[in-house]
Amino acid sequence: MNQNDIQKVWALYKREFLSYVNSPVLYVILVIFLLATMGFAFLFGRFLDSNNASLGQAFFFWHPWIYVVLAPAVGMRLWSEEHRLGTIELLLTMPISPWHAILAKFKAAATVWFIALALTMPIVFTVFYLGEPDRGPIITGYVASYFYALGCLAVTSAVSAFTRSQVVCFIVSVAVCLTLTLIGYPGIVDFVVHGLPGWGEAVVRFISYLSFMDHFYEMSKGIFVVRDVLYFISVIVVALLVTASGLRSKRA
Amino acid sequence: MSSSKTTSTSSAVGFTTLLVIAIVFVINYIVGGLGLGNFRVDVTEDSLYTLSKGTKNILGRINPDKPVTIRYYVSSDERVMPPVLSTYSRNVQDLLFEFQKASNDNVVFEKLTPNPDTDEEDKAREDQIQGMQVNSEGDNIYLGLAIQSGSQKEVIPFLNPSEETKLEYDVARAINKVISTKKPIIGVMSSMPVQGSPMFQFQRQRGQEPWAVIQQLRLDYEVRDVEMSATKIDSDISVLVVIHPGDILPTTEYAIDQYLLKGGRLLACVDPLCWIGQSYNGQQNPMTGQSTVVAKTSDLPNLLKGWGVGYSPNEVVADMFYRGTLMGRQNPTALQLPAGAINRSNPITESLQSMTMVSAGAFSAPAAGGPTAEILLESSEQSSGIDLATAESLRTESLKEFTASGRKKVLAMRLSGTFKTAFPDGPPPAAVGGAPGGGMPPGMPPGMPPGMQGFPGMMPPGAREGGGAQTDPAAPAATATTEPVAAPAPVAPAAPAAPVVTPAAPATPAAPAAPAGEAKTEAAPAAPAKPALPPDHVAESKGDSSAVMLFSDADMFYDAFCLSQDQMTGTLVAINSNLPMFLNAIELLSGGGDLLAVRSRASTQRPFVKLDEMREKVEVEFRPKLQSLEKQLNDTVQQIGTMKVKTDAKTRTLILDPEQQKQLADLQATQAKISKEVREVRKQQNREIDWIKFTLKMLNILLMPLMVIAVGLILAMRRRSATAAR
Repeated sequence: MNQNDIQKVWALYKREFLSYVNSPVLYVILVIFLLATMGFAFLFGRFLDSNNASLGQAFFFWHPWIYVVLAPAVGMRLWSEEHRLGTIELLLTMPISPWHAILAKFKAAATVWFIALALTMPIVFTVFYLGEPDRGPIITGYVASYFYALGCLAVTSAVSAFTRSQVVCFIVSVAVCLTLTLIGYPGIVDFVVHGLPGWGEAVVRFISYLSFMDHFYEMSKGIFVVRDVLYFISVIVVALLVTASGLRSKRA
Repeated sequence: MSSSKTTSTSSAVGFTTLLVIAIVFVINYIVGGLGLGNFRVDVTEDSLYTLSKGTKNILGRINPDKPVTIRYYVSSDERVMPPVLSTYSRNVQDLLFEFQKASNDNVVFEKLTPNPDTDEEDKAREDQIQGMQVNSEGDNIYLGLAIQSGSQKEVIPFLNPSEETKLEYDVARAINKVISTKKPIIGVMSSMPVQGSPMFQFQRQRGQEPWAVIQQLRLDYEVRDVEMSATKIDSDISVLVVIHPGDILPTTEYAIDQYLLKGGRLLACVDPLCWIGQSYNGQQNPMTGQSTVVAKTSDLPNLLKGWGVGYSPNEVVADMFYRGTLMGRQNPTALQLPAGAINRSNPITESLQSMTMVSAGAFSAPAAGGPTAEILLESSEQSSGIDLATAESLRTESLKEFTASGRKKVLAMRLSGTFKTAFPDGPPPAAVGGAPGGGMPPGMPPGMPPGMQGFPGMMPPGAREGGGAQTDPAAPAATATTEPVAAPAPVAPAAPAAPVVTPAAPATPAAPAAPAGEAKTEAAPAAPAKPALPPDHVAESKGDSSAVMLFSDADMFYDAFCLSQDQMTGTLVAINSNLPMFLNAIELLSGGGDLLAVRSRASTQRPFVKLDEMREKVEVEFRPKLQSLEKQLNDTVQQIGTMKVKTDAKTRTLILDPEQQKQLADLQATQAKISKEVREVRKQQNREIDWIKFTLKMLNILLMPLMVIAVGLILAMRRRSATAAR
């Protein structure tokens, strides 16, 4: 990427991000996200009664479930909107490669999640006010949470590349994210394994390694394990690759 | 652009995409599946997930010719394995990999998957791994370790996820045990049956289990019982543990003194008010048929004095800041010590997080010239010493008057350096026939009735030794025969300042079994007015080998104050750092410094300190008001009480004239009013804390959403006015 390309990506990123800022959707999602994270932590997680100055159990615990629903809500307009309005043609006739557009749009949506997470800072101040928390797990918890959001967002981006309806994109993305969250769960694994012959078990176990959840918890405890970081980056790369091929197939 | 060309381009691109995806999968598989991705960056403050130096030292001691094999049993079948356990099993595996790496391959790691109905399940059973039945078909899951070196084997039957922070210690301890050839000996001396009592089938009584601390000790050490009346401590004992030495004899103190000075190490728990000891009282000992009598208070009067340590057996520490609950009541003598009360620079206490002490006493450090003291645990400044009666009454009522001393009270300390004997004049006489003198403090009434020894609060401190000695018929005889006694000679009371007497008397080597009279006649000419010292009497410790660890509470090491039953597995888990503290201390004293460095990061609990501080502040504010209200209430109740005394002896009914009736009604109304006020004040106390919690909750939940809405509205309005202006 040369200087010129960076400028183009930057311009496109700015346009995308401002379109978020100018739409009410951003504010609605931010408010819902903040109410959900804090509400879960303080009301369901009983954070103040836990007498434990760490954010893992009461706060980060709930994030995956919130992202499963809200990340697709942020990401659903990434490409579906362009398809619906036909502006995709315009966008791709611009002197930029599809990859630049994909990256710029993904970064804009990622910025939204960055802001959302940054706005949960009061709980960090609270925990430092009340006790002497371990900084490490809080930092890794936020990184893990952000990775989770980006993972869901990337999946949504891939789905939205194939459909022109935002509603379809939202529902399919939620389903995929939920699946990726749940495939580590034994109930689901049982159900699948029972319908398969013996060799299927190894396959199922391999698939359950792909579950978002496991990789999330390792990190939210305060350890960066190479394979977890690699896992999330892989998910994002694969999903963006699928986005690219989706756009190409639509255009063709 | 021809359609065929488009198709070929897009298929080429599609192929590239698939290829890249495949590569990503393969990388993930290589890194994750094959264990290359176990490189971890541990960012926790206490490096919770990194092997400690102690572990590495232990691993470094493994003999390459006798490698250690770790067999890791973990069920992998997802149909039966709960997700919590499979996540945890991966952490365990990662940690075991770290062990293997740090050992230069002297640790051999084997992973077995004992899924239902496999050969490996049989192996797990052979290795005594604990199977847990998970469904009605009888399928078992396993998550355990067998650690073996040569013929020595250690098994961790089940790895409990809630004890994750203890995992490294457990594994390191097991490795340390299988590679070490000899167990250190720990002597345990106590006036309570801490070692349990054996089952006695004839009387159909269940034997008592030993205390958990003793059971833990037995895992790593040879535990040897030492009688409370012992007059000699075996020199092969590497650590002597003394728990609540109620009614200790001066002769026993002398034995401990000499043991220590000859390079022994001592862990002593004295207690001004021992709750657990009280609960043993009255129980029948199935072996002897006698009922157990445990003194309420314990002390090591001569030894503590000899080291220059101040300790009052009549004083219990009450601490408003660190108070906890006892039997469902807030009790300032039930100390909940947070990390701030624990010495952060000593290896044994460094990473302990919280301790519990119940009705502890207070020490004062020795002055210069004595052994070096290092404070391990201390109270807050909001503390004060209260007397035993008040401390006992706190079981049912709250503390009415309290003035903080403003000074921190020492609850535990470690003494090291040079120790001088507490018995410079040689062994104290065995208390035969209530002869006064010897090491006993003056003021002791001669001939205390035997039954009195269970109630030390009723007699002057120091008199207890006398009472105890007389009731134990075996003690005087034993002392007379095993120790060279110079008894009837006049003996000056032991004093730390007394000049050290050199063993000048040549006469004493006379046979230890020599009659007391003979010893006297021989000793008298050599050193008039001074007793003869036995040949092996040591006046001062040499080298750094001698060490003492002092705790001012014995209850703290009782099971109920260090362990609780885990809801899920039914196993016992530590609720605080009391047990680690005890084991740390034993390990340090017995010289196993490596293991010590492993466990020192046991608990990860980080409490909300701020809320505790607030609670204390609020209570200080309300205490005077509450006190005056409670006093008023008491007065009213008393007034009512005195009125009711006038009863008719025949009919046993109250005789009240109308005026008295009115007065009674008034008093009762006042009583009701005051009780209500007390309730109100208490409610108000709680209200402040609740208000702070509520405020925090609301700020967290609502502040940011409202700000987001405000920013959104402002931006929207600005946009609108911008468009309107056009």
